[in-house]
Amino acid sequence: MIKLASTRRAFVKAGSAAALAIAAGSRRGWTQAPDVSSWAQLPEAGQRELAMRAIDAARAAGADYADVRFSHVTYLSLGTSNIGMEPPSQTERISYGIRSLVSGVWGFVAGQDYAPESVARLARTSVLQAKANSTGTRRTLQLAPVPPVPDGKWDMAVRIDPFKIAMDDQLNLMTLAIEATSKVKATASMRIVCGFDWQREERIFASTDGSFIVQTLFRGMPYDGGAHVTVQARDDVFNYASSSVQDLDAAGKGYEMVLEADLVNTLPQAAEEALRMLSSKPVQVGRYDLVVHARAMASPLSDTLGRALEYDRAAGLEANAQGTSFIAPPQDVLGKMRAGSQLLTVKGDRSQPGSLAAVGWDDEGVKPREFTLVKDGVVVDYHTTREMAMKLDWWYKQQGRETRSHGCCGAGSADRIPMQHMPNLSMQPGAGDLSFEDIIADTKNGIAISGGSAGSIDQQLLNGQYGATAVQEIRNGKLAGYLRGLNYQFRAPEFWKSMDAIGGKRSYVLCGSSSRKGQPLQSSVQSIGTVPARFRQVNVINVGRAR
Amino acid sequence: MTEPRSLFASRPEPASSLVLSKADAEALGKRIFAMSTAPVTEVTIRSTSHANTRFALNEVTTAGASDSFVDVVIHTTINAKEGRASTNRIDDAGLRAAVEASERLANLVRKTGPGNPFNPGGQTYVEPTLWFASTASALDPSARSQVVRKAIVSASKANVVSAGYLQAEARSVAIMNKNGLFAYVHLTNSIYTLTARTTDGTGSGWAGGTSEDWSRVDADRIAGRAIDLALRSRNPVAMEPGRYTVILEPAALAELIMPVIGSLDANSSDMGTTPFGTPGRGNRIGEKVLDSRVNLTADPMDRDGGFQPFDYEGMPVQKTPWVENGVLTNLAYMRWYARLKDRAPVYNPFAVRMSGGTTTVDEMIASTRRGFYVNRLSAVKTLDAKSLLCTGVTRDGLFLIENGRIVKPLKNFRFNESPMFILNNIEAMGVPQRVATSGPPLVIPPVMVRDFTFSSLSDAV
Repeated sequence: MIKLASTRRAFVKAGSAAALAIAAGSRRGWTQAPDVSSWAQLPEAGQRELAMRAIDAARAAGADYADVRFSHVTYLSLGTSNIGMEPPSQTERISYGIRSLVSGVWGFVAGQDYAPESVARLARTSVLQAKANSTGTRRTLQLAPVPPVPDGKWDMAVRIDPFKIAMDDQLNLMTLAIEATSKVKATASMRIVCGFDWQREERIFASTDGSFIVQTLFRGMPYDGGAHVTVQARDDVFNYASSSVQDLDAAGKGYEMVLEADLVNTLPQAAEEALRMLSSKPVQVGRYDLVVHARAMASPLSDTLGRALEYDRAAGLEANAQGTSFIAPPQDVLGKMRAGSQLLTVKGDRSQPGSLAAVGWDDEGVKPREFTLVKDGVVVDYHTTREMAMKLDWWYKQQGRETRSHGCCGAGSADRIPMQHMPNLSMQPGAGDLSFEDIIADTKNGIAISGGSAGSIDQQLLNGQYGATAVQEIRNGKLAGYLRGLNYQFRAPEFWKSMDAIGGKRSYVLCGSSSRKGQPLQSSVQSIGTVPARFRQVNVINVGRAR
Repeated sequence: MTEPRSLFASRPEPASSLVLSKADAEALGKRIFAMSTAPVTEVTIRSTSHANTRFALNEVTTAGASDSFVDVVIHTTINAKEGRASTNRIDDAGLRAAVEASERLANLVRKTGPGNPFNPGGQTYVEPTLWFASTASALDPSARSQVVRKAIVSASKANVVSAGYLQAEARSVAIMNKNGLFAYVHLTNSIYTLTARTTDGTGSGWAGGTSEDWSRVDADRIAGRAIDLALRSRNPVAMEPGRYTVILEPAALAELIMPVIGSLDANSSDMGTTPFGTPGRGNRIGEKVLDSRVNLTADPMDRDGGFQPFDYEGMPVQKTPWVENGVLTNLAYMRWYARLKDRAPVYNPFAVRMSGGTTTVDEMIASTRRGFYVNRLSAVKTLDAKSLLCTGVTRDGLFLIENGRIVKPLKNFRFNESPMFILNNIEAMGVPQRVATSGPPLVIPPVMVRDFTFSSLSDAV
């Protein structure tokens, strides 16, 4: 038996029930936490015992299936600028979530109290949550098979644990980069920002299928928009531009990502680019051939095809939350719908090293593998969880493929119910080894888009309007100066079908991305692998103002 | 409504106390202060419980709850250098680790902030009623189940597919420091939203409601309205984009009011980068910026949209009129900027009541020769901070009005339009209502405005 305090001494006298206006029910007083306040401080045998306590209690209460996630996350946020330093911050959060399946309805309860009897109580409560809704017809819900992992262990392979690098040393490096950037000759005012958010999570998963998995995950996130420089003309507050060190992007990496980004050299280069961008002319409205840099491709790719291929969106399960999908219904589109040109192949893969969504096993114990979503422009699969894979059983059988989850189940945090989230996505490089510059050289007249890109997309991910931070005119295959005010509008299938040139392996990059869905809202992070590409005759509008 | 009026907890499991009481929070704060060595230490303690039921495809899919979470933020200032550490480990070891981390982080800071550390003493606060037993009292999840099942039955009878979400939440927030500051509030909230879609996928309707007091959310009406909109919006026709008179429901207008509220900042307005300032000439307080019928006010005591009566530093928040009769009367001054300008800080809670009128939506429709009825906007993104030009799309109920009548459903549009333009083109306003959002409370009227710019078709349903 593990040694967690079984009854907790009241740390204060219980507050006034009247003040809380709690009408009925017995009231658990606020109590002193036990000596051990996190499962992460327990020896592994103790962790296993605690997890089994939850699983056994859920099963005994009548769950057809149950799983539990324990999570201990530490965040560290360090950042500074040439103007001043934001207060650094650290966050520690421990929590757990228990999910039970009863007659096809999911019940879920989250907690932060690790006393074994509390864990068991919440496991029973999760079953009761489901049972309260199981009075009607039994909902059909089957889970795709997964081999049990009785003793799983996976640590994300980071070269340098950022929590082991002295914070002073991290700040020294940022300060050097900012000082080097301050020396760039500028006629405009400059705001130079540099910083990192680090995250380490220890996570345990256990299920009634007999799995027990321990994982350690790392994430490195650029702080406040990354290492970037914003410049503003001294005589015109509306003439401003921003450029960032693009190689310092969010990733499933450790401190090595900072060293690789070579900030002392690349941050001044970002300042120089931003200063060049101040000389721009308004874009003329019209239809243009767009050459999109790999970094500017991540948003349109994940926002259209990425999200539209979430099975729950396509099936209507997210209709009241983030919306549905234009790639639906599955039975009408799989193997039939052309979502892009022949050059377009998109894969999903949560096992990709260095990626944000990389895991050894997902949040229902599935080992992820690479899978193809769009092949030569045709839709062939969706992102799935165990529940969703079974809904596509007919398709996998037709294809002679195994019915298994693609490992896309995740809980945005342990206090949220696990659901399908977008995995890492990768647009596959073309056969020719074209670069962004090669495609520009091959384009007589058009517009080149690089830097960050963001926009607005409708609830079926069909019609979008996007802008970009760095936009240049292409004249006779050469870059011919910066443009401002550009937004491009598209209808997703037509946009992807108009793609007629695509970058090769050399131009492939992994970009950081995040996505939100569900009710209550939860978020996930993923890496989007992209290559540059050209899109023919895209509608461009000018959303800038005359200066 | 006759359903059980509470949404929390479970039977036969004992109900938890939902949030930290004032005394609990104070005691926890004192434990932290006893551990900290820095004289300027501020502690924020949040506690939360919530319960929810989710449904889709006319079936309940998930029912969940969270058990009394407590989060503590320790904010330490040492010689004007600040550090922050948060934790939800509230045992002595966890709290001590957070106190030490906060002090270590403060000592790490190289450049110090301006002036003396902020360390206010005790304050006086208004006391809005934000806790309602109807939301918080302990009953079982079958109460929520009953509400959503009723909607599912209505949807099935109407042959539409419903998806929805019902959430009840209880929270408490306490902010205190070693100098006697102590702010505390406990509040409940409930939200219910429902999307109904026709089986052929051509029609969609949405409705929702939110209130601190669940008994004020009319779940049957919400379900009925979403279903009706779905059925009426089947087989929409496409129209040319252009400028049209529109009737915006409160939920639609709210999406355009949010960027306006976000621009009410003195620093950026003084620089001229919001609609409320001109470069070189400073901000426009005292100038007429919107239609003279428009008032925008944030009031923690608002009867339909009250909120926490203190800011993130525990300082009191009073009623703040931002715009009175179309004239800009206030802008938010962050503490650092207020100090620079030698004036009192003004906090922006991002909650607002917009004044309205007495015209009903039916009367607006009856007075429209040709225009659109817009139930909802989404994917709104600000494209230009100065003009507040925004883009976004219509959804879940767009109809053509001709000669005072709704004549047909329309395919959705993308718009590129500024709320500053909208709020100067008002033809009529209705009674303000609480809008179903999960953020700060918004109490917004339906409006009829002329010359709303739709830039392209957006044929998603």
